[in-house]
This record gives sequence, structure tokens and C-alpha cells, in this order.
Amino acid sequence: MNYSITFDTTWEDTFFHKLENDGPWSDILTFQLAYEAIKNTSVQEKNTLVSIKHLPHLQIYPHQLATAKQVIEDMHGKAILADEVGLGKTIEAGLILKEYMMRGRVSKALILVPASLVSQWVIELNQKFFIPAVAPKKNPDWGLWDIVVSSLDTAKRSPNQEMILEQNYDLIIIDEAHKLKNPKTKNYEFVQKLHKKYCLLLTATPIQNKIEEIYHLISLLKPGHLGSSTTFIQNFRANKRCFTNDAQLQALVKRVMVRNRRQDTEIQWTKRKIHNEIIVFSQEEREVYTYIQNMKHSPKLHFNPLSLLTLEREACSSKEAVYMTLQKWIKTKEMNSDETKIIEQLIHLLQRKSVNMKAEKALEIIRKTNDKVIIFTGYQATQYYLQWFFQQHHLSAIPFRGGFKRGKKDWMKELFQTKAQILIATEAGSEGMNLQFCHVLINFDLPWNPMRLEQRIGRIHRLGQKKDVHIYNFATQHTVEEKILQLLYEKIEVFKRVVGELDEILARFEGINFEAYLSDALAHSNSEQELDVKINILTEIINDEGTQHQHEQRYFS
Amino acid sequence: MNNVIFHNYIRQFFLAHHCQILDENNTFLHIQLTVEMDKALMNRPFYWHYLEKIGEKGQPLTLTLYFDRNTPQPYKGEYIHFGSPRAQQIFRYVKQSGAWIRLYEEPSQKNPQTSLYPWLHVNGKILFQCDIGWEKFFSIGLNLINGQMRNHFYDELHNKKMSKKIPDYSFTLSPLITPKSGLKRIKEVLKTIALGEDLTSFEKAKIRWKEDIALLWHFYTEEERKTNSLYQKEMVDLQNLYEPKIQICFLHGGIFYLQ
Repeated sequence: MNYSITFDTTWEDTFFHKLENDGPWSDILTFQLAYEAIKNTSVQEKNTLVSIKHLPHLQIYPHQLATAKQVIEDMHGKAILADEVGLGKTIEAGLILKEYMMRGRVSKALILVPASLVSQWVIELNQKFFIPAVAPKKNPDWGLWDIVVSSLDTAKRSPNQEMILEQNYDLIIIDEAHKLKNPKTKNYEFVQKLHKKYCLLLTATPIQNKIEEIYHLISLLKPGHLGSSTTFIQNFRANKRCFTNDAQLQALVKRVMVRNRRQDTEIQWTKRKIHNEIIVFSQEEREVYTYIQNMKHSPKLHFNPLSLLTLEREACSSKEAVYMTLQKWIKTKEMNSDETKIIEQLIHLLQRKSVNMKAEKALEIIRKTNDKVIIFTGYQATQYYLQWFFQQHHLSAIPFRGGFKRGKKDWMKELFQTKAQILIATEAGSEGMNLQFCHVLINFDLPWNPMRLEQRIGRIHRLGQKKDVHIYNFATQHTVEEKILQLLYEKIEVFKRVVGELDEILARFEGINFEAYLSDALAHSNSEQELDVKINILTEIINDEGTQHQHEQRYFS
Repeated sequence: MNNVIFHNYIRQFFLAHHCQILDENNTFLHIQLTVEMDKALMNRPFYWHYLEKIGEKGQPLTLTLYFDRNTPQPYKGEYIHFGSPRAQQIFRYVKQSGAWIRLYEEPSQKNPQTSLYPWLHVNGKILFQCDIGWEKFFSIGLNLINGQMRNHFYDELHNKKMSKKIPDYSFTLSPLITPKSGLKRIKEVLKTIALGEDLTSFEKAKIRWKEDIALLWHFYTEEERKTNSLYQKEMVDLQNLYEPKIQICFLHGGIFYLQ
């Protein structure tokens, strides 16, 4: 066989130079030490992970080791790492990167992660893997830096984007890769244009809604693996192919995707203790809520039922959240005089002094537990309010949200760990954040997508958590929220299932956008019965899948 | 390298560079660095630059290395093991400073008029690269008088007594083969060794490369294949991923005059 053979002449150039100039030569002991160094650092084994020997301080779980081996040997370094939340996808990716670096296959890597996780990745790669990763600073030099961790936003900003696209990256890692499901976005196009030999896409939720999403994800990794887009989508639609009953499709996906589930690992998991708290509105809160409900029925008003539903949900969180939305309406919505009047009256109602009963409940729990507590809310206004509220009670609370700069997020997390008892987080800031040192979580308001709930819980209930975790779910009595808790969450037993089972089940729904379905059901049902029927349909489907799921063999092992 | 060998290796390194060991047991080394070692390892160029500018002598640091994480630490120090950055740094330093040598064998007895044969000795790696990478270490000696070539040459040298200077009563024979053409001969032999390796990984990579090209081909329409730069990019990326390559690197060696 003919293969190209090249010689590195660095050594000989100096050698001949020294011969001509009669030295200088090394001494014997250093020469011997150099020989030992060269011999012992050469990677002669073909089929083992040599990096393990270099990482004796790192606890690597068997499933992580198996994953790294599988990706390198069977998938040739192009894979979707889709472990369930909290099984250590970062460790798997780090192992693979380290192994390729030691084998001389990767010297330049770009790691794209959410802004909130940049520092964490840099720290983990440096401390756990001894990989000298850096985060871009001012005027980054993408040519000079070999291992860079950056947010997508930073990377695609000019002139970074132009410089990055000129680099020949050996490995691209993308964390939270499910965000790249839409090929028409700038992010997707950018990632598509990157030069790469190897590519790792990390996501806990590879199939969130549509089958097309996994198609687009795989097309980034290995264009053509599932065929061209026209043939794939046409085929899929025409034959009513669906992921759950298409063995061929599953087999193809399995060739580029590793998915470890918690129950398959031999790790002992701590328990989730669920406390559903039904909160009773204060007099003033109830009046606001009823007022909003009545806005639906007046014939003179033409508010969009979905918008009103948003207000109802916000009223269950805090009047501040309602107020903020109303302010936005006044600025942006065209309203007739009746509508303007009714909004003004509502604002008037909000301006009265009142007690936030959920906040009171949270305070009670925090005082009782005497431990770190993380509170999740979907609304920034509620976050502001809660911070003020706890301050009034001499409790320090740290806010955390998506808009924070990287350094600020690290600092906030650090403060929470060392100084403050409470962290108040909005959805966006929370992905990938590791808070194993915290054992109590309060869902101040409930997301309408069970997947998102799972992600929230995953912040504290993950590898490394040593205690049982307590999850408090707040739902206000006789409101949409209570309906969601009772009709959706309690029925699909989201909290009782084996850890991680739910996202496995939900992953089987390609076509359903939970939030949209629920909003529609709640906004457009003419009676309670109709609403019950609609939500029941959803829970029954989910539960059927669950039962089936228990009997069936799993897809990805 | 097991722990004992590694510990001993690091100890030898500092001794070879004239550092004094202030305190030690089987879990740690507490070392007084020399100026040279401080500059090489401690990454404080500004300190040394500044002192040189004002003409002062600097004070090199002490360094404490712990070989076991779980033992008491009497000094402020750092954990070192085979894969840690400090070990990597030492390996790098040593590989650079110990890469070229010229040595003479000392005769076992005071044997007058010993003739010494010139040998070209090189150590290095053959790098095999496709979608995976691995290496083959080699250690070769070539007699520059008669052209005899031997593998595992370093091991033969190990028990000989050597000196940096020509021993009294010994004399060297001039090479008939120049080191340059000697190296050429070695390269030819290494090529044969490289191609004689088990290269099934290369064969498999070539097959996968073809398969992936076929997938890519179907992914784009004929029009896109002609005009779409992404298609071209993916083709280049696939080549970089799979194309089998062999690179031979000499890293270490020199001229040895042996009996």
C-alpha cells in the first residue's frame, strides 16, 4: 500500500549545526532523562484510552468511559452526546478532547457553550483535564489560541466570526446543541461553516419537538447521514414515519448518538422529595386575578385570549409581573377607549398594598430549612420583587438571569455558594449550571413544559449530589396554575417517575408543543369540561407512552 | 511510569540541574531551585528581567511537589503526577535540553590504544494518523564505518560507561559514512518499518472516507455541488479527518564512539 510519509526535520537541522560547530552537547543524565520522557509519553496503544493514565485524580464513571471509547472507536469523533441531564456530558467531552490531543489528532479546538457556562468549561478543562483552555478576552486572537471556550454570541460577532471561519479547527464542541435545531438561523449557518474534523454536540434533549430537529442536528455533524433534506422530509411526511415506530431511522440515529440514562448507570442516586404547595391568594391578589378573568367576558373588549392567559399566569406569580406586562401593552398595543380604561383600573388595583402569599410561603420554607435554597421563577419582575422582599426580612438573595455577563454570573454563583442563602433564578440563566451544594429548590411558578421543569431540577439533582433534594412546587388555588399542576403534572406523575424517565418519554413526542397546546386549551375552552377533556387527552398520550416505554426495549443504549 | 519510577525521575531531574533538596520523604520533594530552574519552570519573566535591568541578583524560589494527594503537607506546594502540567513542563524542558549528545565509551581496562567506532544514534516516533492516531517508538543505531544498523540501540548503550571527552589512550575512527547519508539510510529503513506496521486502521479509514463522501454527495444537489462552498468545505474536512498519513519524527540522539 502506498501512503504518504513525511519527515520532521527539526531535530536533524540542529544536529548537523551542532556537528559543524562542535556542540554544545547535552550531558549524560539529561540525555537519559530526555529518553525516558520521550519513550514514556509516546502513545503506542491503539485501542485504549491512554488519557486515563494522565487523569488519576478524576473520578470517571463507567458510562462516561464507555461513551468516550464508543465515540472514538465507532463514531470516529462525530457524535451527539445526549445523556440525560446530570450524567456528566462535560466529562465525556473532556475525555474525548484529551484523548485526541494526546494522540496528536487535535491541537486546535473551539468549544461553543452558553455564555453562562464559559468560565465553568474553562475551569473544568484546566483543572480536571489539564487542558489549557482559555475564554476570549478583548481583541481575541483566534489564530494564536489553541483551545478556546466561547459563547456563540461572542464567536459570531464581527470581526470574531471572520477570524474563526479562517481557522482550521480539529474539534468543535457545542454544548446545549438543541438550540441549533433551526437551519435558517444565523447560529446554525455559522456552525455549519466552521472547519472541523471532529464534532461533539451535547444536549440532554435531542428530540424536543419535531423529527426535523434531529435531522438538522445530525446534518451539522454528518451531512447526508439521514439523506438530503427534501428526500428525508418528504419521505417522512408521505409515509407518516414517526420516530417511535421507525426502526430504520432509530438505527441510523443510534450510529451517531450516545444516550446514557440514569437508570442504566450503577450510580446510587439520592431521592427527590416533592412537596406540592397549594397557595391561597390574599384578598387583594384574588381581586386582581378575578378582575383579569372577567376581562375575557366583556363584549366591548377584544383582548387576545392568549394574552389574557399570560396575565392570569403572571398574576399567580406576582403583581409586579402583571404590572410589567401591562406597561408593555400600553406602549405597544393599540387599544380602544374601553380597553385603555380597563387596563388603567387594573393598574390601579395593582398599586394597592398587598401581601404576596407565595413569597410568604417561600420565606417560611427558607426559615425552616436553614440551608441553601434556589428559587425559580419565569418572570424577571417577580425576581426583582423577591429580592426586595427577602431583603426586608434580612435575608440575602442573589439574582441570576440570562442577560448577565459571564463574569457576573460566576461571581453570583460564588456569592451564593459562600455568602448568601438564596439564589433567585429565571429560566434562561440556569442551563448547565452546577449547584450540587444546594438541596432545596422552589418552583415559584410552574413552567408549562415538563422538559423545562426537568432541567430546573437537574441543576441540583445531578452527579455529585450527596443528599436527598427537596422540590417545592407552588400553585395558587383555583387558578390556571392549579389546573396545570393537577391536570398535567400530577397526572403524568412527573415528580414520581424514576429520575430522567420523563424526558425519555417526552422525547417521543415529535409533534407536540406542550406550551402552545396548553395555552390554546386554556384560552379557548368554553367550559371546564371541555378544558378537562383537552388536557386529559394530553396526559393520556403521555401516560400511554410511559407504559409502552416500560415494556419496550430502549432505543439508545 | 509507575509512581516510584516517576518520583525518582523528578528527583533525578532536579539533581541533574544542581538543585538542592531541602527536605523529602516518599511522598514529597521540597526543592531549592537554581536561577536556571526558576527561569525554566516558575514563569516569572518580569521578575528576572527587572532584576537584570537594575543589576541585582535574584532570589530563586523553593518548590514543593507532592506525589500523593492524601498525605500531610508540611509545606505549601502542589500535587504532581505523570499527566499534570508541571510534569508536562519538565518533560518538555528535558526533551529540549537533552536532545543532542556526543559521547565516548570508556574502556573497561586501561587498555592502551583502544579504537572507537562512530555510531549515529537516533530515537523518535513514527506517527500514524487517520481518524485515530497512534505512535511507534524507535531507537536506532547505525555504524558509520560498516553500515551495520541495529534497532533498540539505546538499551545496548545503557550499561556502557561513557564520557563526554575522549578517554586517554583511546582514539576515534573517522566515519566512512557521513552522518548526513547515515541519516538517509535510517530514513529508508524507517519507511519500511512504518509500512510494515498493522495498518488495518488506515484501510478502514479509507473505506469510511468513501462512504462519507457518498453521503455528502447525496446531501447536495448537482447544482449545489458545483456552486456551494459548504460542499467543498465538507470535502476538505473529510479529507483532514480520514486521509491516512505517516510522519516520522527524530527527537533525540547523537554521535557515539564505541568500542
